[in-house]
Amino acid sequence: MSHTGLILFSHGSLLCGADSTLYLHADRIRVKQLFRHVEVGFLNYNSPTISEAVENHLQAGCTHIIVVPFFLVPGRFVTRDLPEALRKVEERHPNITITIADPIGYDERLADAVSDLTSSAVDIDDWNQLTEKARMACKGDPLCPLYGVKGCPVREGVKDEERPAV
Amino acid sequence: MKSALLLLAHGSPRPTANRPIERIAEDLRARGKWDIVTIGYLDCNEPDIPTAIENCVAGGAGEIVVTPCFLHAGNHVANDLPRILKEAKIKHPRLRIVMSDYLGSAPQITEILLQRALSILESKKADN
Repeated sequence: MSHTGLILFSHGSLLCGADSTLYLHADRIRVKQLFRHVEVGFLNYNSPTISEAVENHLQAGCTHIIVVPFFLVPGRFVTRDLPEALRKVEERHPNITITIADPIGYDERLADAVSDLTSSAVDIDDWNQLTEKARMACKGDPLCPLYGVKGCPVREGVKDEERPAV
Repeated sequence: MKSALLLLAHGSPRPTANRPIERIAEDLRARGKWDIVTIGYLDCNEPDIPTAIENCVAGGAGEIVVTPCFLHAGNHVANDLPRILKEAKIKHPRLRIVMSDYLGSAPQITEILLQRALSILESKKADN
């Protein structure tokens, strides 16, 4: 089997369940068995962090890692923060090669994606799919923007001032 | 009554960052499935979402299909966008507004991510 692994790189979000889509893309790619190891890696808020993801690839026996940014455009997270985070990991592990791929960017399949998505659009009054999903994935994290709303339990001992301004 | 497709984007202080979304809008316009295809920005750029909706209504739209062109189901998609659209609904009670799932959830995104990775593998092979 190849010694190449794949990391899908994302910013991370405070909203419970916001990372579930990225895991879904990783699962869909993993089953194709084109890479020795497939994992997600986050810059902020969620784990595994990008450096933890690299460590996991090393454990899995990868010598080359491709990092695909889960971003539409190469903004500063992709052009500055990601290479910086990876450089630190590479210093610790000189034997591993890490290559950053292009972000999603423009692709003609994105118009197909939008067109397909619209066929299952719902009335705006019924549109609560994401808050419902977030509640299902609720970790009771006081930093989640939905923390304390109906259906998202409040944890004992968390003070309001520990929560970020939403 | 005309049909409208409204793509919701975050917006960016760097104009080039909006190019992908503008090109998706151009592609969808060329397909002719909707009479109006337009973009509304949450932040940084014009038109903002309420203005984009007003433009659709002024252009004769009776129904607006909204797709959040966000990759993440973060706070913007879960809370901000539905709130803005509900406000528009109150202002235009006869306007039908429907909202689709967000772009990041589409299976085509998996294909694109995989292709970005495979093109690195191919260029490595070409180097060897």
